[in-house]
Amino acid sequence: MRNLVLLLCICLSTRNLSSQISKTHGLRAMATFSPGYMFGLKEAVTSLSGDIEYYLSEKVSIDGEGSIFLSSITSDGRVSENNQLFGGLNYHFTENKKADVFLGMQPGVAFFDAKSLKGETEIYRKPEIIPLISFSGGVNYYVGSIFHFFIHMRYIQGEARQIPQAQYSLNEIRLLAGLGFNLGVK
Amino acid sequence: MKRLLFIIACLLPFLSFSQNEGPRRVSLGVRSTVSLFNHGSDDDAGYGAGGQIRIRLTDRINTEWFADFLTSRSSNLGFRNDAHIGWSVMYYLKDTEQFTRKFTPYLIAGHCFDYTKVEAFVDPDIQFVQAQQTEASRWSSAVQAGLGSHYNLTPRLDVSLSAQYMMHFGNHIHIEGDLPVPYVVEEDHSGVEGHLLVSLSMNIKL
Repeated sequence: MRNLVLLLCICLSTRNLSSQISKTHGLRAMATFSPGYMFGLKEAVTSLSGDIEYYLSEKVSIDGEGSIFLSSITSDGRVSENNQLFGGLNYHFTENKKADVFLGMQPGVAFFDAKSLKGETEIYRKPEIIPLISFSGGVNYYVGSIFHFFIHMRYIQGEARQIPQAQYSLNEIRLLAGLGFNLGVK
Repeated sequence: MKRLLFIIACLLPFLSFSQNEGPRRVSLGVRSTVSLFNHGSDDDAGYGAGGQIRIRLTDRINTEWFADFLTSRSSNLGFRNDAHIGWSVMYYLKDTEQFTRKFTPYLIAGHCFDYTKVEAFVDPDIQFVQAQQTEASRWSSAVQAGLGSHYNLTPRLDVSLSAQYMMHFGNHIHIEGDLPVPYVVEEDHSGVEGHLLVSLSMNIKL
């Protein structure tokens, strides 16, 4: 029933949208479960991610994103905390089109902790704040004045420095996809 | 933090003239930084993140007010965190043509304040017998100079890459000894230490 209502909302919202749209001064936001692969640690992880983006013009937007680490999918996962915040700019290749292709740069910080093992004993450590280099890209497809579908990829690079035994790489490729909301997109 | 807020408050009046005069003069941006060759060592590169405000004074002269935070490793003995807050002057080597040309190269030089914290790794099993200092921090001053270029995606949006050599003036702090009992040494005299700072930034003219 809920899915039916959602589908109905999407259909209704598409009625007022012509093939040409204007995103300038519009907002879009999303929240989704995002799988990722930390290729430095060889660990598959999941996070809960959300972002909000404001279009300064058809070509440029300001974007802020946050993610909360949920779990490692890989057995013997070493990450115990990896919450992240990003902020930056996106460049959009298309103007006034429903399909909105973009690339962006969003440096950020991670609040990171790992299961640091010395032999079989877990060593107590302080969670670490780690600066991150990050780039994102993807497509938003506006299906109405309220909703859009999105598929984004994010590349994240960082290193945990405060673990005595080894440097932990936070390098990750993350996939974000789903249905988002928009406001002021005409 | 108070210093940062004060600097931002001082810069706010510039926003008003940016809106009124033809070309936009104030930019806001985010940056990723990589610190290389820390104190002559070719390993232990540091990564950082931060942001900047640019205020263009003339067609050829721009200024950049930046803050960033970097972390790096001191071999396997400990780690080092650096925070920079400073400013640079940018001189455009070619006419900017209102940033309609794709590449706009520039010379860049400036000054910054730097907060450094160094901490040695301590084995928790022997921590209680360790008499030597395991962490230290200090404020210092630095100068930096280098080259960079904008790549103008649009006249209002650019991606900038710059490389600057940054020299710090202040008491040298570093990690000595070996595992499992490394320790931090604070020199009581000032010295000059340097590193290469490569920044990639994305900036929007407001």
